[in-house]
Amino acid sequence: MDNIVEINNLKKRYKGFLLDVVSLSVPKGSIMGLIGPNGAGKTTTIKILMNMVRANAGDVKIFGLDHIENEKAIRNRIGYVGEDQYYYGDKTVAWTGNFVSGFFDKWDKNKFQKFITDFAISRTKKISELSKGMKVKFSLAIALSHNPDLILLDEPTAGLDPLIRREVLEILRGLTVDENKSVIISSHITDDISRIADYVTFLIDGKIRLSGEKDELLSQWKRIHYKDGVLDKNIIDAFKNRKKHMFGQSGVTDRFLELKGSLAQGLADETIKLENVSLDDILIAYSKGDKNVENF
Amino acid sequence: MWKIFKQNLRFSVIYLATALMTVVALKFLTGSAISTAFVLLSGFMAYMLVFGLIFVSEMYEEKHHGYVFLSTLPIHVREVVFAKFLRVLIAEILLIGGTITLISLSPGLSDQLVVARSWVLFSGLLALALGGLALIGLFSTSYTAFLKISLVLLVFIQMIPLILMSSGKMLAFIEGTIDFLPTINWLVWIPVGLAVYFCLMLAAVKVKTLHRC
Repeated sequence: MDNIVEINNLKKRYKGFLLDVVSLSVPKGSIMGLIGPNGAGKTTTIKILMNMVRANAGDVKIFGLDHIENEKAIRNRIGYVGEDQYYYGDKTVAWTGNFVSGFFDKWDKNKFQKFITDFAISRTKKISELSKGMKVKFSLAIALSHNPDLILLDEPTAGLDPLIRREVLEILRGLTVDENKSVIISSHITDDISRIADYVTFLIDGKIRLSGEKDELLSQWKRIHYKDGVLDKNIIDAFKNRKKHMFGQSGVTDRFLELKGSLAQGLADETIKLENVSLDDILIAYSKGDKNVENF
Repeated sequence: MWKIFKQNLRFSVIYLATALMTVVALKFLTGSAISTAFVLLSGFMAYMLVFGLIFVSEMYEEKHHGYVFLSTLPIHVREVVFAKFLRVLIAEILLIGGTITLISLSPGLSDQLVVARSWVLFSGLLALALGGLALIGLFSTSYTAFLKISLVLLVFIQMIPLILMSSGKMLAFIEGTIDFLPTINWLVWIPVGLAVYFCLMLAAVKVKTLHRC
């Protein structure tokens, strides 16, 4: 499968922070979820892809093209929704649509009007009069009306109330119908990513900790509950986010498939129990590290 | 580029029209012959126009995070910078052109007219150069930060004529400048001034590329 985005040895330094992405690729026609806590480098990564921020080092290719040399051609094929929606606040929705249309080669006026109608956005309203949710929907309309091949969404659901958030996610889920479009969506709300992504990348403290197909990752990761003395120490030591509680202990592991045989007896006599983990659990396991043992 | 150029064009046209009408009004108020007051005030209008256009435009961009918005669109930084420089240049050419036409149509000695034309043209080109420098400053920092720096600089710049005046050299300085300007063919100023403005525009592209949003 062709990669629509390829990042190699990317580095961006800020005071007290280093984004260091050794390698990351996004297959064509897929949805990549970029997961990480606040300040992990998700926004910086997306802004570098947009060439809104210059990296200190590294190689970024989008559609097989260098993202700096071909900045204009690449942006022509990208739909971008930022964490904050910046437009000229004193201008109307219609004016902004008309202004933006002049920059894109493949702007579809009818598509834009359909989005505006479907999203119930008044064409005569000033941008500054739109609510946060409306602004996100307006940004989506702008981002999708020029038939982009790649859609970059930076925390699009952040700060939205549950109703609007669900509505926006439904719109994003609709994008998956077209397999020619690739999407990169960043969020610290793993539930959003879980709903729509094919691939996930965990970005923590500026580094990629884990990247791969979502379903495959989730099948490898399990939470294991076990009674004291049932498991060898070397197996337990490999667990992340270990917890002690009144029923025994538990920990999260990414080596489930490898450990399956060792756990068989315990699973049979019910001294070991398995639980599926969510992307949230994996994020917490990486954020807290291996050595954290909590008592309950 | 033209999309950016045309953005808020109505404001630029109104501002230019106001500047032109002010120059015409000054002409009527100062009499049919060319007076020193008219020439000095016309020169001052050249600065007002350049800095008015630049500061209002940049204040607007900062208020609405305009450069962040533009950086999400398929447009080169250089196109944005060119559009900003071109709008100021065209407005200034129209104002200076109008003022020089007005001077040329006035009765008076040919030497006086040459001095007046040179002064206005020199003011216009100097205003453009200073405006270009201001744009570079604005692109390298925020509008608010640049305004603070400019105010501090202005205090120091204002001290120069005060020092000159206190030493009785101010009048000599103006007279010296007025005597010097006609010694060079006033048309020579145009390519020199435009070349300087063009170089500043290229420098501004570099600065804006480094300070993207």
